Amino acid sequence: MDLLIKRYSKLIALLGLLASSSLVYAQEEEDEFFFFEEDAFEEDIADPFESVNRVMFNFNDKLYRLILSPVVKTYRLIPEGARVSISNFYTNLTTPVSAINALLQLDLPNAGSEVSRFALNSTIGILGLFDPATRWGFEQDREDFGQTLAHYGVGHGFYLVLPLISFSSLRDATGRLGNSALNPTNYIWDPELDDWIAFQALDTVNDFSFDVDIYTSLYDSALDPYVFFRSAYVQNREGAVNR
Amino acid sequence: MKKNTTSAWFLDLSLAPAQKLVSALVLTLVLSMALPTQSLAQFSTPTETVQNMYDAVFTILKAPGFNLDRDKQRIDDAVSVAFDTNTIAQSALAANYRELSAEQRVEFEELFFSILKNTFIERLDAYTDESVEVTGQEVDGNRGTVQSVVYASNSDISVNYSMRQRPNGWFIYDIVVEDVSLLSSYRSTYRSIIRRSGIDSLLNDLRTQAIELE
Repeated sequence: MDLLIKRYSKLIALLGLLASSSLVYAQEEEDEFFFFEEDAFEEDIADPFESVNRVMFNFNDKLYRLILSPVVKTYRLIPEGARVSISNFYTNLTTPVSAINALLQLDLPNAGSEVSRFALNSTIGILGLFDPATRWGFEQDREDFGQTLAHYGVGHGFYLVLPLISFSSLRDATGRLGNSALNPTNYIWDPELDDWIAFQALDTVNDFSFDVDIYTSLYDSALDPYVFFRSAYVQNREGAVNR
Repeated sequence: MKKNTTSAWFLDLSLAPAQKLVSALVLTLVLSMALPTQSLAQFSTPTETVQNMYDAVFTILKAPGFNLDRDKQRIDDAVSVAFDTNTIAQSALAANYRELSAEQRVEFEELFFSILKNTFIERLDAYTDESVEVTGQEVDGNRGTVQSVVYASNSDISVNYSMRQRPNGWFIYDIVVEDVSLLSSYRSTYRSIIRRSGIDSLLNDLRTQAIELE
């Protein structure tokens, strides 16, 4: 009997090894690697007003497809260089807001960089039409009041889809009000309502003119675009806050 | 007739045994060397996988006379080899994947990727003016991340790839665009549908969607 065990011990050990390794392999195939994030993504954000938000989401989608998209198609006739300058101009106008928010978050290097960007681009960059600052190493890192609130521990509260503005949350919508309170141009320029609308509309149309229609790709690929974009919004803001 | 005689040379029984042995050895050697080294050479680091895919796709996109309808299959091939579709399918369903039968798993994977291809490759012609650069790589055991930047006309877009090492190299299992993980977003969507109406209903919805997009 002893001899028998001895004789076959190698075989038994080998079988055991094979069995355990194939077990490990099977487990790795199914569990170990792939369900690791299961809990981390349990809930993206509270959404108590989902039914209202969904109506708004559909409204914005129609607005994009039926009005914005056709307008943008024609608008693209403007040469790209000019559109990039318009985009730079708008970005530059809100750079002070970004600088103030960096300061509020006690991020002095970024505050300094944003102030430098504003100074360089407003002068050498001719009222912000060009962006020499980026070439000289002052890279843009925008901060808004929503991020400042998050920096001091304020959570999203709940998800909100706003008309025109689209994806937001209680915190980030409050942040938008904060941003316009912090924006120096709002104190210098006091436009009529229709001028203000035209001003905002140009910014939006110009912005979308660079778009490669990733929105439509994502929308069509997601079974429930509402949930898809809600998740994407939360992740994107999370990244902006942590940067 | 002629074709038969030329292609069946290796079945010729008149070959001397020694010759057979030699050719068998040569064949084994060639196969054992050519197959693994070729796939390892392409994917031996996370960066190589992504760089290869970028190079292949942009060579097609920027070729003179590029035509999306004609070149679609080539782009599909260039992209497909870089992705670990099985890992992605499992991860997109997380724990719910366990509830699927073997056939359903295969079906889910096919539907999921058919939908992605039909929504993204269709619009790739919008990207002919852009350029990309791989800017960094991090490796932690059998997982890794490749950082890259897409230079669009008015902004730089950060695109990171989550990678997994398999016996035959590194493969992409997630794309993170501006901090948004596509895999997480699809997972959220599928989870919400499964919770509301069950996994069979998810498969049904995917079938309908895949047909609509065809």
